[in-house]
Amino acid sequence: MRQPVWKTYKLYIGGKFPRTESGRYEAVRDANGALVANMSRASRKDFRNAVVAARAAVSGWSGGTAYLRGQILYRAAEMLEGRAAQFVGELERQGLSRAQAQSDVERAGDLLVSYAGWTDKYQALFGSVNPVAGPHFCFSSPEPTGVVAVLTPRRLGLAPFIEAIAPIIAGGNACVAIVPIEASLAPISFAEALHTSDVPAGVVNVLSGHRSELLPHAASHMDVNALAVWEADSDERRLAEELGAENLKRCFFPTPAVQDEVTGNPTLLMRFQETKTTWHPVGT
Amino acid sequence: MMSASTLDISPHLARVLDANGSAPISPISGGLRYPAPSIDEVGVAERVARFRSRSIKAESKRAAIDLAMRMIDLTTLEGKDTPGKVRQMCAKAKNPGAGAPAVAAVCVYANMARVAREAVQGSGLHVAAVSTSFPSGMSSLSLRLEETRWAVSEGADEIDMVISRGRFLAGEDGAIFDEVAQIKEACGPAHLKVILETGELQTLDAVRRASEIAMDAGADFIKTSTGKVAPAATMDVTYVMLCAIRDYFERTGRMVGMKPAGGIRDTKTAGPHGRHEARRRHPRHQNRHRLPRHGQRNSWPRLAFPRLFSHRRQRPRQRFTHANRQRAHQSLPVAALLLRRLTAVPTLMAPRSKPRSLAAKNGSAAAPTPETTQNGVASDGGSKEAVVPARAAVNSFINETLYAPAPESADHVRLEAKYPLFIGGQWQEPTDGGYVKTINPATEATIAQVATAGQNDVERAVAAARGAQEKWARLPALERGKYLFRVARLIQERSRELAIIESMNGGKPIREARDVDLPLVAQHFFYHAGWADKLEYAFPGEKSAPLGVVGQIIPWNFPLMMAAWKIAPALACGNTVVLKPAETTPLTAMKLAEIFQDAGVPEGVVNIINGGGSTGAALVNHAGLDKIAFTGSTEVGKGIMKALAGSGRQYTLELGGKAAHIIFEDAPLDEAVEGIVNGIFFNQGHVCCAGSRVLIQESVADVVVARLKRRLDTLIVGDPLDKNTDIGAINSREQLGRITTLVNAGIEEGACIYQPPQALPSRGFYFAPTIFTETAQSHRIVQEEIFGPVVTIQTFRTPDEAIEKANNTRYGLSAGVWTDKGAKIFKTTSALRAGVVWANTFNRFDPSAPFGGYKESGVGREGGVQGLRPYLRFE
Repeated sequence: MRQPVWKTYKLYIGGKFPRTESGRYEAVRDANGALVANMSRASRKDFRNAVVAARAAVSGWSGGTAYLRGQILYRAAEMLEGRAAQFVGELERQGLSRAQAQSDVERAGDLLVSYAGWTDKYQALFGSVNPVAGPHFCFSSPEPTGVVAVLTPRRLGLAPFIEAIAPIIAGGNACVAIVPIEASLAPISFAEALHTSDVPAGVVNVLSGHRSELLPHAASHMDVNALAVWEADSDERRLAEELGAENLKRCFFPTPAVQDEVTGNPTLLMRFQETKTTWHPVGT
Repeated sequence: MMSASTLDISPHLARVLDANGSAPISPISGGLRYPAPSIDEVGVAERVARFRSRSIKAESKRAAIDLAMRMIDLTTLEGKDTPGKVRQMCAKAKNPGAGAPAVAAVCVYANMARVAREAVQGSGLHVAAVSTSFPSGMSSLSLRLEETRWAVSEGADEIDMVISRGRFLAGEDGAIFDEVAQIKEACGPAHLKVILETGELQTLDAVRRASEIAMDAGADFIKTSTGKVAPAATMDVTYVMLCAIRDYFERTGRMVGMKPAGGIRDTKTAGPHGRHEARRRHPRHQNRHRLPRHGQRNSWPRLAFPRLFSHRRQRPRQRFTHANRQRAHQSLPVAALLLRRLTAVPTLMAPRSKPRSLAAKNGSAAAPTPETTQNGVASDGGSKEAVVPARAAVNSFINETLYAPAPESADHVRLEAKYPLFIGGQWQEPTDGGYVKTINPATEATIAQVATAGQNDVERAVAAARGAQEKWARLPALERGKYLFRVARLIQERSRELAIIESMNGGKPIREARDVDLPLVAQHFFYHAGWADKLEYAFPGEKSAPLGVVGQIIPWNFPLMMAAWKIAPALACGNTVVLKPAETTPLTAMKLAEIFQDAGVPEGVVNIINGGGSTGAALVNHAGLDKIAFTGSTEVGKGIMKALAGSGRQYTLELGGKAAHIIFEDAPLDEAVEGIVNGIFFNQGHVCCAGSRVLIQESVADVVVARLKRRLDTLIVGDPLDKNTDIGAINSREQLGRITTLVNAGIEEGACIYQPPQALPSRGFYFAPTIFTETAQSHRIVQEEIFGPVVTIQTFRTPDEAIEKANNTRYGLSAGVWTDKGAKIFKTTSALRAGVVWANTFNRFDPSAPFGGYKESGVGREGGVQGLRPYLRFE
């Protein structure tokens, strides 16, 4: 009988798939105790490397056209669709029913398509031409905050991961996603889909790791502009804001949308945007 | 660079090119266009508005009118002119009567030049003849040259010509140059006045370019208008022409005269009462002439001395046309000293061939002598040229005569001796706080006592706000808005009083409190009042509700404006507030409390408690609040974020800044210099978004710094209540200490300091406007927010370097860009990491324009629809 070729799960940093520099791993097992995979347990150093990669990616990703960002995210959805069976299989092996896994992966793809559509639209909804009382033309428009660290939902599935990262990257930010180890198989595999969909290296970085270990590093890192902690408890909120205050990090604590929501949430996207107001005189 | 020989150019132009040693012109598709700096119309209008907002006392006005009269050409230019009429006019010119001084010249058609010459013989009066097919120049050049020679032979010692506007507007600059140069040659010994007819040139760019051509081609005077076509001597145009003269003088050493002319027909018009008034009172003048634009009214005394030239420079000759002046309507006491002081200045008539060296352009050709400012700091002092004897005279003229003290009367202001806390719509004594003195930083005198709130008082205020919140939120939204509209109106009605108190308590110049702060305060309430009933349209697809009770902590730099920025949106969104003004500036907030009372705003909706850091901390830590809105320093802002961490209480933070102000080489430089001044010296530099780091492209750095220093020399530091003060008092002794410490650090780190020589008042807290050059990115003065009238100058070579330097800071509140190139504006403004970016302007604010910072300059926005969101809860 042919033996299947097992997959090695690693991290995704700056468009590469390195093992954690710490050499630590954690075994993920199925309900019967069989090994599914040895997942990397990302360290502070991995996080810092990911931030460097993300920072380097910001100007290219935010500087391109919104249309291009939309096409690239749509391309990622295409890749996701093509590898749906793989993600479903991974989720099934971790205990989801086939139906649950399928619906989760479908929703993940749909969310990505929806956010792909938002890339060139939210500016018009949330920007403004300001009727100032003087001979000036004045307008305000959203601009990406920069590097966003995101601690994704604990729930098993690909959709929760997409729900957490899509509003960040659709708005032109680069992100470092910290995914709970037990829920990280599909997200790490999805990084391979991203890798083949023209998303530039560093725009999305995926670390499987422990929240309790990495949150303080994410919150205190001085080159992270915003921090989103999904399903945060009160201790995590306090820790994030206390440490985040050091560089006035924008801290958000989103909760997952109702299960069947597939339309991207523009107000969530706007949490990772700054408003820039520009003035110019009107004259000859 | 295109050399002269490769161009098909006129011999006259070639002569200038040779003399200058380099080509001052550049070929542009199909014609030669004179290089002239671009002018930003709106910037000029703002600059001129600053002149207009100055207060000029009667004595100064009289002096200015006297000077203006001495510059007049008394003119008659009509077909019915007779020798008798001309002789009569000449008699008036020599002795206008009523104690008025003699005018400068009489102006007639060439055929009357001989009559006039004989009539004014021996009086020193000049005879000017309009010539060259006046007023439109619609004839051949040879005829006009012939007419010029004839007028001079008939006795004219000044010739008035008009340029061919059509050809100028068609871009035939070389032809215009030739025309002026040849007529100048034909004038021989007579002076040439070149009339630009600025009303027809339309744009200030064209006015500037025409001025440059005329001066380079040899004009002795440039003149706005014939007066025949349309009144054109607007302040904007006159300002631009004076700037051109000043720059030409610095470039060549030759002083060209200025003649704002057109449509001034009697002394009433010329005087401080303004043209409009004169017209109204002379019915026979009605409908005969277009009513003057606002800019022309009441402009003479200001036009006479617009302070373009700092007191260490020479003024241009100025001459005014005063056509058809029949008699002096009023007696004008002669301020004889004035003219003597000014005319004591030796006229500088450098040879035309003086080379234009870059050094001369930068005003540093004449041996700079180090001098010591009152702060004991060596400065390069700029050039002295030949005007040193005049400097003291002009200086004293400016300070004593032109801008005689114009203190705003505080009689109207009612201040109580003591202000308790404003809680639940009542004035309440503090239970565990006390009373502290609040002073006028300009004099250090105590002006009132205010209560400070203790922990228990904070409790009471929060309870009052909580008690009122539900009812306030349940009010029909339009009714809620109507209270705010009412507040806006009451503020407008009491704005003079409020402006005076703002100035007295905070140290800001009354002019700024009156012209900037108070209008914005009223507008903020008016703008947000209108949002109250429209919130569901503001956030389509979302369901919003008020947050509840908001604690608001504001700084001392714009006490009332910050109160408005905080209170107006909070109330419009259905919240109630507890506001804590800054410790040093509580008084206008107390007045605002009176207004809320008068407006009948329900009790408890607005509560105002004073106090220092401990009161603020009590508010921040109060669990009964739903949100803290804070404006102040980044350090305190971080503390607030930490204090609120994990509490679920929301926050918006408007914090510090260290704005970069980028000046590209193609910027309208004069307006950019104004922008720098406005950017850093507005409100003594106590502005979080102040343009405190100026980055200048290397190619124009010297000239911009030189002009900036010259402009600094004209700023008046002093009594904030004086309507002519530019820089008022530093808000507190503590802040003065912080500024001094950082400035000393700058000196120690090796930056070069410049402060204008000006005595500061002996009492009160003052700091001279300060420029640091030779600064490095690592200097403390470049990195830290100084919050005072101190600006650092750095240079850059490429746009990328400018952006890199601009963004190299932990702050990101505001930034400025000056360039004439649209594409470069958008590239730069997009790349700057700052919440507000001003392009070709600076320090503009509006309630409809969101304001707030990137990075460590804060979280959240205030103003506009974006500023409502932080005051609402979304489901």
